[in-house]
Amino acid sequence: MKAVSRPDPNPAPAALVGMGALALALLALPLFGLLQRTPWAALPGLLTGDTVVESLRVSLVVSVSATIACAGLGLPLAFVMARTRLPFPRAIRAFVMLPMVIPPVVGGTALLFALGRRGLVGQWLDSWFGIRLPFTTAGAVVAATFVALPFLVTTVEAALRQAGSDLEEAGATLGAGPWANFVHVSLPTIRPALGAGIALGWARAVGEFGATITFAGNLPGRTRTLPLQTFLALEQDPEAAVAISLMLLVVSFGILVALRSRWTPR
Amino acid sequence: MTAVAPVAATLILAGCGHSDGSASDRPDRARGDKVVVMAASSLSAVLTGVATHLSRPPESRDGRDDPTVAEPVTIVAVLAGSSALVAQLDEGADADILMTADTVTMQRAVENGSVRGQVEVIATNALVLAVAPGNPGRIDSIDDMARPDLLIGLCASGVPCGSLADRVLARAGIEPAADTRELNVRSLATKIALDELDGGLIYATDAADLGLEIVDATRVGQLTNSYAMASVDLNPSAPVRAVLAAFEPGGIGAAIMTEAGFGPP
Repeated sequence: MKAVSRPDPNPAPAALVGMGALALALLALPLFGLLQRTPWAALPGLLTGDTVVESLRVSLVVSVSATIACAGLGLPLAFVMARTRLPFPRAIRAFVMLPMVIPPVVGGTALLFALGRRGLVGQWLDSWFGIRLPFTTAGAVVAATFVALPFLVTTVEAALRQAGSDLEEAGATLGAGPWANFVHVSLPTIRPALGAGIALGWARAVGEFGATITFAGNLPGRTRTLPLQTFLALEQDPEAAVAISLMLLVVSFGILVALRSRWTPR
Repeated sequence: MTAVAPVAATLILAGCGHSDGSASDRPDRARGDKVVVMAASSLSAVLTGVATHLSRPPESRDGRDDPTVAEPVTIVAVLAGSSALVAQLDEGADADILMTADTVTMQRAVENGSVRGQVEVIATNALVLAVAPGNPGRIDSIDDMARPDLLIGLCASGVPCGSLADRVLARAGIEPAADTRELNVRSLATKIALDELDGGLIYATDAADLGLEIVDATRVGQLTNSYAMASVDLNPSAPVRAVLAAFEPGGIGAAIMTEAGFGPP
């Protein structure tokens, strides 16, 4: 944010400022609660312990894979949603938004019934290809992709709609095929939004807990991500839980601040 | 994960001649006759039974005479892994009674001051090796838990069923090829019942409750956990005392635990 000293030309009513400040306090207070409980001297030791480093590795592998999957699947979906006339557009939009609003545990249970080895699709994956997703790192990636995908799709779709299709139509008039148009015209125009969607999706994937524990289980080095490690630590070693929580918060906060300054217009 | 199950309603039937005006003149907490019981998830079926029983007026309690409880009591059950419950209490969760699946975890709650009542051991429980319906992994002994081709589940080491499992496996000299360490025994038992896991070490009582097939009972069941109960307050209110009494020898809770397959303390 830029420091401004000249008087605001359009001041907000005092009551709104007060309520707004209350809302901000509700959002920011937990972070300060965590800071107040942080064992600063022990922090380096806590964050470099074997169990934390192992969970960090799992978290990085899972969240980066999930982000790649999000970009690979979400960008096409966003493009199709923004540029073509789909049947039942409201239902499709609701499906895309659903993982944002349902409890992740519900998402994990649904994934288990769909992709578990006795699940709707999972039983065929198992018997035809020998692919089993529950209790594997790949399963954790699926869970993280499930919850992160809406962030990327909605961000990119909004940008595509805002940009309009004038440039693409001009490209088509000049003889560009649909694929060349997508790569050379559409993609460059939405690059900032794509970056924002990828960063938001990654942040959501890193923080994923409920769907992971339900669908992928909890095994050190395979599916125990940082959020799962935090939950376990909270019961046995609260200081370690505070340390990991702080790290996750700082990373997410950093991403959001960076997004604000780099990709979104002020 | 925590499941809050309001397992009984406070309906007192008009016309049954039972006094219902006494709640206001007792110095109980604001929630009246509601008793919040934080219990290890392996006690979920037992608590449901006790709650149903205590929610009725004494004269209609299916033939089991329980003179300790004079009035209907509503139990609000908070079920989770024992260590999660202790952590919640430590962070100020409002509860009247804590029941843990081992004495070590209860001791943590006593030491950090979140439980001040006297600790009693109410029952014991042994582990069994439960297998998925139809035993698809053809598990016939605890040695099979080392087979990497199977999907094997255990409780996390921090919760009582997990630390007991670690002791049982160490004693049998087996390095388990675990695929998940679940946060509480019910989620592990459910995943076995759903056939998402081939087998795992769960409590005998949970296996019985879900009707799961068990194997190699003699080698697995040699060690047991002692279930502990304590009042959060040093001087519990009358409804809380009633629930505590139900779990003492001769009480309805003790009877239901025996029926469910728990061992004597």
